[in-house]
Amino acid sequence: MKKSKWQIFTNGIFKENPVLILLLGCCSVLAISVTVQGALGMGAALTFVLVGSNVVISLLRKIIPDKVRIPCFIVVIATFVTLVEMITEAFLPDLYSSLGIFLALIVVNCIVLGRAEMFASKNGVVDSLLDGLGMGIGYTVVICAIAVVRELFASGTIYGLRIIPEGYQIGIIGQTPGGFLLFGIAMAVLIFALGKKGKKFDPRIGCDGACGNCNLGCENRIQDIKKEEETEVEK
Amino acid sequence: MTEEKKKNSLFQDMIKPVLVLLIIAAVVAALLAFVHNITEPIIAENSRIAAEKARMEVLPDADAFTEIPYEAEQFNITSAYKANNGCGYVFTSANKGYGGDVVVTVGLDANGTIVGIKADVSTETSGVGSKAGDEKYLSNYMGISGSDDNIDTISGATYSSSAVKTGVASVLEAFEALK
Amino acid sequence: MNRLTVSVSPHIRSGNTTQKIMLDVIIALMPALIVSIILYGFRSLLLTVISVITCVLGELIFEKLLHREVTIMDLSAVVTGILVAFNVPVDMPIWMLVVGAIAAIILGKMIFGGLGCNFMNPALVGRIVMMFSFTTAMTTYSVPAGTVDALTSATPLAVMGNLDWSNFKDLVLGIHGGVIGETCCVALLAGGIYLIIRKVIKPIIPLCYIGALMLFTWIFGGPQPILSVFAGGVFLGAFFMATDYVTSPITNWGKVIFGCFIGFITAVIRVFGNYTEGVTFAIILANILVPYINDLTRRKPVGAIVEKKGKKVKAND
Repeated sequence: MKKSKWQIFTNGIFKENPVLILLLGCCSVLAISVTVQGALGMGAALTFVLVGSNVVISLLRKIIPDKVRIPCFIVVIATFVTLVEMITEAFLPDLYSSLGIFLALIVVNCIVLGRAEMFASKNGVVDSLLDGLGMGIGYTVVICAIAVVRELFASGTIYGLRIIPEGYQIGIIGQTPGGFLLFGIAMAVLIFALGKKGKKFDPRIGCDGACGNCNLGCENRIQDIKKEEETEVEK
Repeated sequence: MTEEKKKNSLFQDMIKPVLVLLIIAAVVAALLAFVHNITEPIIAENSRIAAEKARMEVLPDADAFTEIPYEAEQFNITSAYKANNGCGYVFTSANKGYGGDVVVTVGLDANGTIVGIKADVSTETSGVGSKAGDEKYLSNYMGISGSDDNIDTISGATYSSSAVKTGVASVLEAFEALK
Repeated sequence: MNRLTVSVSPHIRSGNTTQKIMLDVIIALMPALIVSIILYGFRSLLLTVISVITCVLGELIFEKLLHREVTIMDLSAVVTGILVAFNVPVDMPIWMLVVGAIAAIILGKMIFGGLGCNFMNPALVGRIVMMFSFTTAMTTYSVPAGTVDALTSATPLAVMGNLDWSNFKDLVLGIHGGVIGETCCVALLAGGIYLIIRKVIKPIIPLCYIGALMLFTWIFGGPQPILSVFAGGVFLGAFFMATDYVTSPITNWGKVIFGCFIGFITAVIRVFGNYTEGVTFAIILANILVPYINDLTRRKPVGAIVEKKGKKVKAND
């Protein structure tokens, strides 16, 4: 069964949303979602790195020997991150200081390496580009949605625009506990929205059946999901 | 790739991975060096402007600043600048608050009277110690000179506000000595 | 009534229902409420009523929305409401209290499945949310009317070095700055004793807590280990929050460990910590440990074969 280009693109936004379904890269989501401006910047930076690394890794996938693939991926990813870092520091210094350490930490963001390993190293350039773009947009949408709520309640503003007057802020929403709380709510909302009539949405396993060294014991479930998908396509 | 693997030769197994990684790293390094060359001067310029702006905030009359030398061991300050048009000085001092260092930036006019003060309280407990960085508290320091600072610390934010107080005292002391 | 009825066990039921127990707790909280009205005026009653209404309405709406059984008649939401209100200073803006009460009932209780399923004391969740959100309002205490200095002041804890036997009477009667429900130790103690007499709570947790707090404050070199017990929220926490059925251990030894642990953490926070008061955090921390304490102190059935450690792990492999 082969996914259409459109499916590959939208996968990252809904069904396999990297943050809320695959639960990758949650750290930066919790930390950066305090202001909408920071969230947008972070989303854009991550999308750029993701698309860049996916395309380059997909191009190099036939050249890179299996043995050193992880170091190669990391080098490519780190390059893109460093590029983004230098460019934002030079041209968008405000954004650079608000993102702080989390910009550099995109290197170890699981979404990027995860997509390189699971998708880009196995698929063509165009597909990888769409996958990177979809995943990046999925990440950006989630982090911005959480940031809108957090900024509204914790600072009374949205994108710096005052909506709730000064003095009526609920500080905890902007602090770490509020981040976790909204993260959980966002997850519940997406899973609820993806459910079909009377049937709960079954989150896919993001590893796509790369069971190799993993012993979580979910092989059977992956088989079931794959079968289900096939029958759906036949219909 | 599987066919190639079957050969299992020394080249395939040992040398090729190293070579590929080496080439990728070399290409990438060249690219980064190129971008770095473009962005570095811009970044340096940006940080210079940012620092200048911070000093300007506490000493608005100044046009530009020159760093002046000071004896780091003798005074409890972290930087010292003199306004080029001679209207005053800007000093910074870092002192231990509750959560970490509280950096105060103090602007003095030519006579040594405080005309502007900023405190970075990002390391202090939000809502408690951070009161020491509020304009309301810092305005108490405006206009004092010499060493006669009888400013009270904030009850409930004693650590943070004493860090500010120590910072101001050190700055005034350094100014007296450097004059 | 002559028919033979066949039913499943349990056949012997005690007359104790959640409602009766909660009613007892409410009665036990009344002295403290009355004292707070005397000390701080009718605004403290207003705060309490608003908090109770918010909690009950919150529970009702949540259950209606989720098509669950409505459980507001068990009065537990009322208790939570009173306790949340007891944790705020009298000048607290009402909307902040409402936020705290909603947080307490929804985040502290309903999200986990309602009474019996929550792992933290709901009222303390409310307090923590308010503490982190409105730090300034939560720590601006007003001094009871009638005292010399009618301006805002810190709690005796914030100036713990100033604790003194000479103002012991004021300290115990609650004539000092603080949140509305926690200052008067006498009223809280009266309520606590009522609960003990009614066999609603066992005295183990409060006694261990207060004892451990004195001991550890003394060991850590905190000022006035004995007097500091009467300051801050110790009595309210010891009798009404730490003893919450759902979030305290079921065994007697478990209760001892639980009480001592809270005393230890409270002392650590008070002597070394960033916040002046540590009762809330200590109880919440201990609440999280309750399942483990229960597990450790569970009585082994007579004649049961003791399973060796590690056996279970092997079987899984």
